[in-house]
Amino acid sequence: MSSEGERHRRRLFLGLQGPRQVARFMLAFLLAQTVAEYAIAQAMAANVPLLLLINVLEAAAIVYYFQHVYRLWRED
Amino acid sequence: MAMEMTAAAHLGPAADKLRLRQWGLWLFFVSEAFLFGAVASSRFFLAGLEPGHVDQALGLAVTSVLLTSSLTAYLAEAAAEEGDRQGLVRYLAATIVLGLLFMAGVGLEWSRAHFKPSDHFGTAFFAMTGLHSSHVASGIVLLALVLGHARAGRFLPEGCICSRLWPWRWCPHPRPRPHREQLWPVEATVKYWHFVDVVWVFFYPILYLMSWPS
Repeated sequence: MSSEGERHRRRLFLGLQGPRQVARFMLAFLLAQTVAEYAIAQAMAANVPLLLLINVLEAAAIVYYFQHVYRLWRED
Repeated sequence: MAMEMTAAAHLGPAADKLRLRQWGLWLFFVSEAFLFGAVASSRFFLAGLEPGHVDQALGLAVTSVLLTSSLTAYLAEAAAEEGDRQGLVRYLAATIVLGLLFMAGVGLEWSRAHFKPSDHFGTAFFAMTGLHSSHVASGIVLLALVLGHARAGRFLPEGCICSRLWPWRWCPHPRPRPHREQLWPVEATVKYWHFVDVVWVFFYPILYLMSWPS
């Protein structure tokens, strides 16, 4: 079993390590995704598939990095 | 998988209990996702893919506020895991304020809506935002409860004596890290808040952005 301290140093998907790195990445990612979907919606009339793709990516990032879904099957 | 199960068995009943709680929470999320999915489908059934007359700027603003609240909730959980009680309290309070701001934004949208609840789009809009806001409200109540307990020192041990002696709260000693089981109320509440956020990630484009020319 890893120690409580090691849990924070564990490398996640995209090589992110520690809460600060994750927070910085997610701030930039969520901001970019939200602005992108708003811009796409204003520019394109048929935007459903593209918006759906963006939302799935956004939700997956939240479930993985914020909700730590991997902890269900990985010992931390 | 077998190795992980063996490792879990070595951790004892506390770890098993935590694992069961985590699975239970995720199953709850799955059941809630079906509920939200059913309500979201009503928008397409009632109003098709015609865009509604909603305030785009307000929609973008409330979405940004809710996404930011997820970030502060994550930082609260991270602070708790590092044994930082002040950080936990600070970020939980920020999350609550952002949640209240989100609800105020939705309330503003409701008061200024150019459609009625009896319209096709209006029915879907009020049902979806109403159901989601009730979850946001319950999330705020849970966060406030956790905040109250955190301030009372329930989840994390008191800081080192140095932090009370020095006026700038500086302490050279490492903080004692709590066990995961102790932090379950924080973890569960924050996970719930993220779930509410994920739901809005889909509701926002469905209500504000999606269109498909007929």
